[in-house]
Amino acid sequence: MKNQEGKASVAGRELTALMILVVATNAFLIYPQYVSQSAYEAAWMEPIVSGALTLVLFYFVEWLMRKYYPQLDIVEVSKEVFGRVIAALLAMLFAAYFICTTAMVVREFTENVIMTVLPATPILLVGAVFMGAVGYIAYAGLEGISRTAYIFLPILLIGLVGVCVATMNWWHPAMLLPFWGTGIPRVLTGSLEYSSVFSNVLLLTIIYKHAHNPRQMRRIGSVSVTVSTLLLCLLIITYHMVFPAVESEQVSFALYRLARLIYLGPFFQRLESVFIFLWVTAATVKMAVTLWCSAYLLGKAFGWPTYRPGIPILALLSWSIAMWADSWVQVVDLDGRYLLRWGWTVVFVLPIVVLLLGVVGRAFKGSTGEPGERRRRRRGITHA
Amino acid sequence: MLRFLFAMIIPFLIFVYTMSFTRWMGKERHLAAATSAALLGALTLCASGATLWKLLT
Repeated sequence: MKNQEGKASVAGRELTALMILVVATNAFLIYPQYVSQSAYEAAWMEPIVSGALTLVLFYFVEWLMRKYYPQLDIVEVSKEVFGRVIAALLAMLFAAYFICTTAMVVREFTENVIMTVLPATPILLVGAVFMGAVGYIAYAGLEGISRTAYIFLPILLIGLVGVCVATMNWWHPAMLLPFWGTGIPRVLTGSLEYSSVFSNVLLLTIIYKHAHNPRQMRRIGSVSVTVSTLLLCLLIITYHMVFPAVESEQVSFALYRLARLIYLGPFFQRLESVFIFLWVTAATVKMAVTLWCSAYLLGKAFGWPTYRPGIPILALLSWSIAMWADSWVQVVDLDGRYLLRWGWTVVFVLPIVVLLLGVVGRAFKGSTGEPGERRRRRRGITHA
Repeated sequence: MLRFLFAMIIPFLIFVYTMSFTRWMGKERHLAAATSAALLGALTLCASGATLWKLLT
């Protein structure tokens, strides 16, 4: 990609907003349900442990990228390490993960919207409108998505914090006891299993070269992981103070259930419809990021001169996968069983393994004369 | 059947758009890129057709 799309340069605060949105949007999805199943009253600890793990890995990957691959993304690193064919296969795997994530999110939100505010509208239509909006934002490229995320971040914050604070009169802190829920081992296992919601590490390996100032990446990572961890934690604590943990594991749309309880007097009724609008807006940006990532990775892997014409076809593919499932229960089951439970292998393990193998390969080849070094020299790129 | 055919208009238009992208890449001698985009287009057309067939017929 030699045109301007390959040279997107995004400011630090916009990238921070983008990463917060991508992670914190999981509060509207099935993440609260699955952590509640795994830890009961201690479910709020799982985002904290997962966030801490993500932060450590983020710093490690950022250090590797800054030291060894300052001008490359994960596909280019894979090409340098394994060659074109395996790099293409790896990129297809990452792209498939992003497409499936987009599909699951669009289906879950479509079902939520139909169940709550548009019960008579056909699911195909709601899903198509969703994907149209997502495709439009993704078509604007990383800069467009990041700026959209920066504008919509306050909406997400209002949508999440507003629900938590407005239900304050229903809080029963004693429902958070016993403190360790199902026990420390279950909390730690659940934290690892469901850590894939923090996709910051994989995103870092894709967008690192697009950061306006890559030296800000540590700050971007720490702020985004901390804020999104706090938001997820706040929601889960609030939810468990309002509803018993045993009951929480059976509810797929925790925030909506909380929003239904809000009562601010007779003049403000059915406030949940306002919140649904805010959540859908945030989810659209998240899906735009995952759709953009899939198009970008495939474009890089197969040498497309531009990835943008791939956006409509990938949006259609995501929509087709999303609508294939028979019911919402099946979607929640598939998402929880495969994407949420095993996503950490794609989000954390695979990028780190690729980067480490690249570093080891370079160490064997020596500091000069290896293919990647020669290629960068030809391009006139120097290390930052 | 008529609903299915009507619903397939948008997937078909997206497929045509992808094929024109493919043809342009072929002219620019990006053969691997053109092939991959064509395969993706065909796969997606089949997937959307199967989904719509399942839901509308």
